[in-house]
Amino acid sequence: MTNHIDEDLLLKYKLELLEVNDAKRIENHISECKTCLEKSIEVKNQPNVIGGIKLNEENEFYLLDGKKSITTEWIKRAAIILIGFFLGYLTSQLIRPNHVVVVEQNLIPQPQKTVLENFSACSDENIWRGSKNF
Amino acid sequence: MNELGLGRTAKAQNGDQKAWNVLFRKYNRVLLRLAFLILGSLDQARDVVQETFIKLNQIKPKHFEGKIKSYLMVIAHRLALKEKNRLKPFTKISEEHLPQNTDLFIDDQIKAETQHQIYKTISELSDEHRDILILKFYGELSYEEISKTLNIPMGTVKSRIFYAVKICKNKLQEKRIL
Repeated sequence: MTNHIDEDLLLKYKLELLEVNDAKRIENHISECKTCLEKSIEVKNQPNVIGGIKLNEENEFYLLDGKKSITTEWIKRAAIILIGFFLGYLTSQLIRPNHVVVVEQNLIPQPQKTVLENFSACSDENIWRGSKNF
Repeated sequence: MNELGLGRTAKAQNGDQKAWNVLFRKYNRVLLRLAFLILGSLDQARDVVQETFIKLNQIKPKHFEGKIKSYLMVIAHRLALKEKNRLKPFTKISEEHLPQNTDLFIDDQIKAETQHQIYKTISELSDEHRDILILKFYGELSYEEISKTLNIPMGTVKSRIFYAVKICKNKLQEKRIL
């Protein structure tokens, strides 16, 4: 075979885009043609270069430690909500004003005066004043 | 890359710290890179990775279709696109929005500059080409998985990946990186 393989075809071969028969034909040709072999080595490297970006920070660990941590987070949130409710209840109890019950005066039972107290109210002076009115 | 079994995911979901660490160490890098390439911000990419693992924690293992890695990639990709769309009215990818600081990329000054240029080239691709390229090279998904993820025919996936790589190759050759 005198014709050399097109570079695009070699790239397709490298990217495994060709049918099995076509790929075999190229393999056979490369094994016989030195020029195409050199070209195929050059093309082979191209996708590796394009796919060869590496980041410096790839090894960095920043993920939460699995399910346990996520569960703990939820427990923390629930605890915060409960504490919030409890504090709210306490505050409402402290702020609430004392109850004032308004009752009519005549409904309050008055202690009844004893006979002796009634008698002491009739002092000599009162009797004298009373007698003057007559 | 060896696939971690569903058993480990189930253990992780039940609070096994060790299983979580293994899962996280295994997939953190690839997810972070994928999200970073879509969003262009390391902070947002971190949020997406974290959200992805939270979603993994919420789903029952029996609902996994296929490999866990594919599941994680699909979730990270969707979340990153969602975040990007959310921020779209406020940001426009252009030269000034690309991370100028090459410290983000792997050490060694020349490598860092090269990787910055590669990142820039990928960012300049159209959305449809960029997404497929990222899922293929950084999400390590097969063409079939990409086809399912993006809900497009296999032929379209293959065609787009070829043109995405070709465009990147031409641009990088102009910059004398390839």
